[in-house]
Amino acid sequence: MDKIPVRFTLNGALTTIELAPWTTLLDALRNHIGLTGTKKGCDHGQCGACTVLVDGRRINSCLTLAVMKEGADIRTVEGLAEHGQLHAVQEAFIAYDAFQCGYCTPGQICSAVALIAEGRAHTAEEIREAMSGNLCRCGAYTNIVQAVQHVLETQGTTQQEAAE
Amino acid sequence: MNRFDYVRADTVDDALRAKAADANSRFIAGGTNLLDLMKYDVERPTTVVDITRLPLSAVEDLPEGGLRIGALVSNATLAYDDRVQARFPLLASAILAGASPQLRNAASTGGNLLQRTRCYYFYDTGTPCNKREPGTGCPAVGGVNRIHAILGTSDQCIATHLPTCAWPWRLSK
Repeated sequence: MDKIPVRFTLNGALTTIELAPWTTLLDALRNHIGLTGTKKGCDHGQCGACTVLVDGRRINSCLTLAVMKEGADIRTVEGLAEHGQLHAVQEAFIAYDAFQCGYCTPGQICSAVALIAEGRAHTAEEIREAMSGNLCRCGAYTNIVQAVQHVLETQGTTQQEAAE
Repeated sequence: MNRFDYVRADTVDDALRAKAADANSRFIAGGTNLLDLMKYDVERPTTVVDITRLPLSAVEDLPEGGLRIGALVSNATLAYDDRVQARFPLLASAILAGASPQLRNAASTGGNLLQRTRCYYFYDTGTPCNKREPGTGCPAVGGVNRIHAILGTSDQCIATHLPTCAWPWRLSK
């Protein structure tokens, strides 16, 4: 079958590309568009290294076809910083040393950004459950939970200040 | 993954026509089970029909207190729906006990019920499997079978039915 044109918004920019239908979103990002921040770990939806945000929801980019994403709004780890300023979650991962080798980090960060937007996790235990789709073979979990908790707490403070 | 034709269906009729046109076609919604199986060569469809644009994403109240759940409602949307949380907490708990937040965001309700078994032998095309290739045998019988069924088995297959969310539905009948 011929390649199929697909158009989506990628990190805020309209992107048009022609792809074979069996190209996963992950392979499209890494091999066809050149955004290698999103990582291929297990390629079977178990490790979460490929986590990206599609229409604001975190999904495994390895288990979806790129051609299915016509019209979608996709955000990868490359699109989290704004105006040269890292996202609060990225800052927190550095401050709390929430990684060792770094391979799972883009997926962890995208997942954490979505977790905060979802607004369901508050305690360390809830954060651990809500981050359970992201594996870290170095075992940086303790610091990852602390980093996420820090952002949740500081954002809560910011929102409270704004409300006052 | 094998090569296949891709059809994006805009209406239910489109989807049914595309499905009927190729006996070896599959619908795709979340894709979390189908694409996984395609990467292992367990599923090799020649046509993949994308049904994600069909109007099947609603959760509707029924007169007697029930809910009608669209096949495309994601596992996450369903589990966190206020009505499901209040009236069907067992269903909400069952969905949230499975998979991960990322998978539950993508996976559909229809696809959840249609998931294939996780039997190791079903997934491994290097071994026989009656479910994958009827008549070839079942290495799980007498093999490594700690994850397999105790009740409701046959001489031909001892695989379990997978979806945790199917059980509350069955129990509530």
